[in-house]
Amino acid sequence: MRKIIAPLIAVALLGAIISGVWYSHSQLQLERATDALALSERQKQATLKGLIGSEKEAFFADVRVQKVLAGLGLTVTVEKAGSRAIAKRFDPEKYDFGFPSGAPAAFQLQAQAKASNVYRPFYTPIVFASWRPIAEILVANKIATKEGDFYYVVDLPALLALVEKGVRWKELPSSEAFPTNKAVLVNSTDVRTSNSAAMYLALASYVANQQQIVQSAEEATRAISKVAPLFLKQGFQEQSSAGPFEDYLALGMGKAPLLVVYESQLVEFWLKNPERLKGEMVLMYPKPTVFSKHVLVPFTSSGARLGDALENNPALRELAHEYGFRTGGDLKGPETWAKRGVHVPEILVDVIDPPSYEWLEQMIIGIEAKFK
Amino acid sequence: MNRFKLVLRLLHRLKAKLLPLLALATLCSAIFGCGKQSDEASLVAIPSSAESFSVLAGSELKELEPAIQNATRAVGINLVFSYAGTLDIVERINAGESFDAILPPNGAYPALALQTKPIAREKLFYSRIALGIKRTKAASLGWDKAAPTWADIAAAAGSGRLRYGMTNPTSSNTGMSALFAVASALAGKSEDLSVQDVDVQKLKAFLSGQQLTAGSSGWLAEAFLRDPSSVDALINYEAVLLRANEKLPSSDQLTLIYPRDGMISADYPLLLLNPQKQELFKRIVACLKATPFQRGPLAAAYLRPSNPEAATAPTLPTAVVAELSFPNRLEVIDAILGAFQAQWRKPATSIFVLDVSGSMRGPRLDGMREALKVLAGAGVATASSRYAAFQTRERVVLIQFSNKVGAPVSFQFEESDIQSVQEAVRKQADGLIADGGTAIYSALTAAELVAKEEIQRDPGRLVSIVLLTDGLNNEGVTFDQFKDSHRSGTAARIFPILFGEGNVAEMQALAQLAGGRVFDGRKSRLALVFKEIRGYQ
Repeated sequence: MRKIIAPLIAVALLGAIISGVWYSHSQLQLERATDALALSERQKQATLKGLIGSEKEAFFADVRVQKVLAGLGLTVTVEKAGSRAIAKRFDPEKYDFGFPSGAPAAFQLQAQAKASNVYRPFYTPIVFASWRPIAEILVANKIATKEGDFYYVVDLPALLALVEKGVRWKELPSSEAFPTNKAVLVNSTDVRTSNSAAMYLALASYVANQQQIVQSAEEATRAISKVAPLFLKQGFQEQSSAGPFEDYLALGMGKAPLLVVYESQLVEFWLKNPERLKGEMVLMYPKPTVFSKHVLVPFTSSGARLGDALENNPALRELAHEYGFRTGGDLKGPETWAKRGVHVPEILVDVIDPPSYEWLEQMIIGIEAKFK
Repeated sequence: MNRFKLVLRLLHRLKAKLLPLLALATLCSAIFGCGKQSDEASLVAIPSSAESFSVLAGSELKELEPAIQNATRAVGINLVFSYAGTLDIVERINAGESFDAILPPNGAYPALALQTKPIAREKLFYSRIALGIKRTKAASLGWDKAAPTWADIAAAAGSGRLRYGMTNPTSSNTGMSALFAVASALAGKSEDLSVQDVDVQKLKAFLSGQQLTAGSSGWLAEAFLRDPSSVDALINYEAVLLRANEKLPSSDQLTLIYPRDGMISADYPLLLLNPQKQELFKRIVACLKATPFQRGPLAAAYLRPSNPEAATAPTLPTAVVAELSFPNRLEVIDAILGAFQAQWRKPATSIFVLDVSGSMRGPRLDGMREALKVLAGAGVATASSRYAAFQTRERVVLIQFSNKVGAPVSFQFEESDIQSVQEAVRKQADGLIADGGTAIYSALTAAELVAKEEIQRDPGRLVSIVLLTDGLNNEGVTFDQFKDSHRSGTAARIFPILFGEGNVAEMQALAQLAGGRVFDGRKSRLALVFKEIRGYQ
């Protein structure tokens, strides 16, 4: 059978290549015609290299993204790193841009790069990736409510109170589905290197600080002692957001009953694997939550061109939706996702701002000291 | 047929959405390149244009090497593998050895201990660690009905109802992960273990059931395959246990048990070290994470996929297993491993049978002296050399031989005078003089006597014999005579070191007879070989 199919495929592919060339050629001409002003800009070919947060790697690896960028004269290669590490590896000789996953890390990078303008093309809320049985245990304990087919809202102060008390899953009423000795704990990446963990710290410090955003050195110092155990108790943590999410998918509920992730990670996964919507994976929105704003800091003019394209090009915005990112523009992510069966809240009401870079960094350094 | 459908679907999408050339190129290689190797058993020849990429990997991956190489050769990359235990991997990199990447079974220890952080990391596959136990034993302990907790396992081991094999935590990841898991669980902590939390009494009860030790997870399984009657159970990767089951009669097959309070899984990250090889790294990862490889060879080897699109093989258990966490501080790891070696583990009696015949004169004898001195605490204090050193409660017996067999000299290591005993071993090493013929089996017969006495005096010891000889037996007891008098096995496992002009086939036959394995001292320094052997003592 294969012997017959192989040549068939080869012919089909050849045909496809030819039509692809024709189509893209004509498409390119169309674009040129409609946007004559940008023509000179587009013809300026630039090859860029950037350091990005790991969760954007698939977006940049997408050939459709590369295609749109190529149409704009941009050839982009990326290396991934933890968001805080991106700021530390600032090197305009080597890279054209840094694209960390959070505003605080970007703030530091912007200062180093002395960039006058930064770009905020994508954002995504911090959520907990969880499992239906876990979510139902929290519902039974009146800590969470079910809001949609695949998502819940969890009362963050109440959840963190359980963590602080050192309650174990099997000690909770109605925990038959997860009768383990594991402490109720939210797993995250390493707060010293990764933005998603820093965003979790932003949320936890808000709760610790009488539901106020930390705004002074005193408040930060006081918050550290309350929030440090949330990280220290986890044992070994990974440096970047992709690893724990892979563990969540591969090892399931036993590894990560509650894992800090970006909404984008789960949405992207569901869009790609719609059959898994029937499974037990669920999203939990902590109340309150925080947005992680993916900020592109340009080091060179090519970097700025890329930032501008990501922010304003409708085709790129649409592609970003496929990777679960929310964007500006007329068409938001949630509407497009809903059409494909992934229903998430369009608007989140209880969203806080992260503390400013200074206080967040003070808390991270404070926690870092406790690791030693 | 599926591939055909896939292509049709993609062509359809192309019409609608414009798929650029690159996608097709990728698709071509996905269909014709990386996917193809899974169908073929034989090794793909190395294309002349193949680029080479070196990997230092966990030793249990040796079995998977042909499948991995087939996959990457199909995309023009020749992977060159070397193998070592997790701690050694990290130390060799820290000492400046150069590899393009490492592939340890668990990323936590390297993340904490590597001096230069990897440039990129990608998890390739997973394997849970399980207690594989004979069915009848599981039934008699009631574990076939409900999974035990670690405390149940410790109680069974402590009362002599469970004898198991586990690797040495200081040389191998399964032993290390199991030790952290059992110590955490017995302390009632699922997270953030410290050495003060350890319930020493229960942990020692657990460790008293350890009847078989090894420096690598692969050899542990081999030892069990050779003599399934030696233990009731093995702690090992589920992948290794299930592969072993394929070779065992059903009465000896191992049922997988995941202790209720949890385990630590292996997550096999490929960690890139060479900044010049980023492109190759990406290609290797893409190829090994692609569904054909993950669904094919990986599933066949009972490994869990890291690519969520390749569902877990139906041969693997899917029940929820709690995961415990790896410590997040090197000091904690160090304190626990150190205490394991010096205080918690079954004490060892390590018998060294050392050839001092005339042919050992010169560099060979120097190498032997150095190796003994390293174990007696001389040299650089890396973590692994500290764990490899002779430990508190250990008894070391040196038997030197030429044509005559010297009287056994024993050294008892105790906390109170460890330094003076180390000093005495070093002096003994300095006093070795090479002269005369080679009476290997007379010396081994003497060592066997010592081993028997040791076991009689204290059945709770792990007794082993290391044989270092560079020549052929030409005096005293012959190999045939030794074989005849040990038809039902030896009192202790014998680990011969291949060295000089020693008879390779005879040493292998001896290891086979005595339940040991050979080590190769012909290419690497004896000090390193001795260190490796320590995982088996």
